[in-house]
Amino acid sequence: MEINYLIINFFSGIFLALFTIGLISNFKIAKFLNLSYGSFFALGAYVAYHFFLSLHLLSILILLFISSIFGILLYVLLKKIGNDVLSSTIVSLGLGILIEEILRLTHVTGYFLILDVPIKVYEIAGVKMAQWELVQFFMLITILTILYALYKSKYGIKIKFVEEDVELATIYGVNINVYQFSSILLACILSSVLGFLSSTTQAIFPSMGWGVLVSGIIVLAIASQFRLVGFKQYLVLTIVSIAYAEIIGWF
Amino acid sequence: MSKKTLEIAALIVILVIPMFLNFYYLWLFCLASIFATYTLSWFLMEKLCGRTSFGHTLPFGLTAYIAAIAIFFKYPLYLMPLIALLVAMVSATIFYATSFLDRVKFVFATFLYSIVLWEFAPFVVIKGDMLYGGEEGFSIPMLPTKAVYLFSSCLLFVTFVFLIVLHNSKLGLKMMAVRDDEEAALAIGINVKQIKVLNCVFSSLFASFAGLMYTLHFSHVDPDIFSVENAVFPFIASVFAGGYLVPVIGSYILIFASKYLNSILPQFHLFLYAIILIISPKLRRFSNARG
Amino acid sequence: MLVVKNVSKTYNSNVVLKDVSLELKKRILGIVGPNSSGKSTLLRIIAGLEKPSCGKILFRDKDITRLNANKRVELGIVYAFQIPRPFYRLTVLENVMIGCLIRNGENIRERAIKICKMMGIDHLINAKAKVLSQGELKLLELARVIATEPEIILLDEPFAALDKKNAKVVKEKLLEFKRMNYRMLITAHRFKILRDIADGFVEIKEGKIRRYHVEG
Repeated sequence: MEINYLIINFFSGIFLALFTIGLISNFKIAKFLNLSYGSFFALGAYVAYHFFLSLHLLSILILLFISSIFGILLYVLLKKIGNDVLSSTIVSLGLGILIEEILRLTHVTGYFLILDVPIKVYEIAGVKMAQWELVQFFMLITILTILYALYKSKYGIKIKFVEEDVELATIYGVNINVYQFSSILLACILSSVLGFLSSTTQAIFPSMGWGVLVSGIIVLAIASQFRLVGFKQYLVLTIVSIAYAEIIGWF
Repeated sequence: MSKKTLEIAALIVILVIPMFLNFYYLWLFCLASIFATYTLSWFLMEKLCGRTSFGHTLPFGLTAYIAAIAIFFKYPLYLMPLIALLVAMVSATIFYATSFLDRVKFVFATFLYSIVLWEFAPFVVIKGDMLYGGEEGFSIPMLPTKAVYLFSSCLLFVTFVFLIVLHNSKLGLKMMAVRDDEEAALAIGINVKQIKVLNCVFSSLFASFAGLMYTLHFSHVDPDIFSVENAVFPFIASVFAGGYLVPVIGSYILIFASKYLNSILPQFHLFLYAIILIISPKLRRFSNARG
Repeated sequence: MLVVKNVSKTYNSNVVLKDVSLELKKRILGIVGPNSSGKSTLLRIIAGLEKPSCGKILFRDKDITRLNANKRVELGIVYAFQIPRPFYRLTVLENVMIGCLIRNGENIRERAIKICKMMGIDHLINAKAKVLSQGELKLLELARVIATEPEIILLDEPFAALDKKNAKVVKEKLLEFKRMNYRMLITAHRFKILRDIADGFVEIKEGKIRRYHVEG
């Protein structure tokens, strides 16, 4: 029984790590706390509600399109208006509320549930696992592998440079805009994909992202204390997320 | 006449006008005066100590919630200020502890307080003698609007005058020194910790009493009192910050605009909040440059 | 009057000061040494802005090591930053008035104006500190320090980041302080710059006192 709880919490930690990867990347590379992140999560869930049952996995393309538009909008707003950590964070909060209100106004009903999707359960070594849990586990492994390869490549040193000191990186000729744009866009897509994938397991409503965002910010705050850059920070983030989920789950 | 006197006179006019209006407008002005006090309490921390808080729903909402529960369980009304006082002290302690973080982290941390409270408030469901809060919140017996308005307008007036007096006092000067540079203030002999404690106490106190007025005015509280909308309200209302009257007028405009936009489409006013938040850095830069 | 006794300071594993002892016997003591030698750290420890890892600070035979910086200002020990740190959103007069507030006397405004006149910044009293030039900021920093009515002024590289003209003005002001019988501890890179001001010198290198040239 207790082993089962440990495994359930472990997968919650995996989800949290996946969610927070985008948050920490925005914080370290684009230098702001992305408070619209939770709204992107809700956006993904709403896209799933509308298109998943009819279009199945093709609906992911619609999701990519919509979240990219808002991701680009966020980047443009930050470049035009936000000039430091605080103002950029506030701009992202404004966009988050805007997305949430668009969802609220276009969907008068408070809550939605996606009920017609059968949940596949696999049994590995005597432990039952839902399909969604396995998907997120493999997603995390894939993302961490990509990040590892990225930091080992010729771009790795430039990204580390941006993480350490944006101003200095600019002076030394690093095109910070490319890295910041990529970080924001990919984080927004990641959050909305997670919202999309988890939509069948929970009620869908505009402010559904705030709860998970709070956990994400707490994990981010703990992981930031290690003052790491590069791939190590993502590794530490994963460990912190799992530990956090285990502790919170225990209580 | 000095600028201060003019500002106080203008506030008196704003507070007296509703006495001659019909019930609906009196109700609306009452709500606006409560939110104006809430904004001023926030502004006290921002303007005098340089700390931008997104967590003022902590004293505001918590007082409203606890006072509503106390009224529901038939505790006498005269005990309510004591509740506001207690919540203010708890909030001030939390704000003070948070103020050891740098200014940016302070914003993040206080924002977290709001969201955590917002997420946890639906769990307030008391079963003995029934008080089913949850997502819908709960109601208490209604008080006469005129009486509540009298108290809320007095509270706004006291807060306003207190801020003006504080701003021009020696204590206010010390607070502004701490706001600009804590270490330099310490090096010149200012007891920074004491100044920060006082600022947190004053700010929390006014926010708590505004929260109490909110409960008495609405006769209903629900988890949305801790919502992001309420957490960012003072920030938006004082985006054109100049003197102390600007945030008051900003609060009144926001309340009236919200009611008007809500009548077009429910929750439509949050669009306005979102747009103002997005352009707020530009507005603040413009406002500072003008200053 | 002021005694620094076996003070050491370590940041993580980095030793900044090693067993430093000195005494302010003369009115003005210059502390000279290269960058990162520990001069500023020593002054900040004396001012109470940092706590020593070990050692003691005595003022009039009283141990003030654990006393907060604001309490030390009340005793009369005040610190001036190397790069001026005014209260940017306040006016010049308000900046100086804050210094005057520590003594709790009356006529703070008049006293502040008098100090501004003495420092030659009276024409700027209504200007916000953020619009001042580096030279004017240095004078404002000194004015604010004087406003606290100190007994000992700790000056951290008062000539840093100043051009020749401004350095000369600051030097004149420090000589004026000397004539007014203020006790001072001044740090600098070279002896030369403090020659006319200081009565004695201490050379500090790699966190240790190398030479002590104090007469009497």
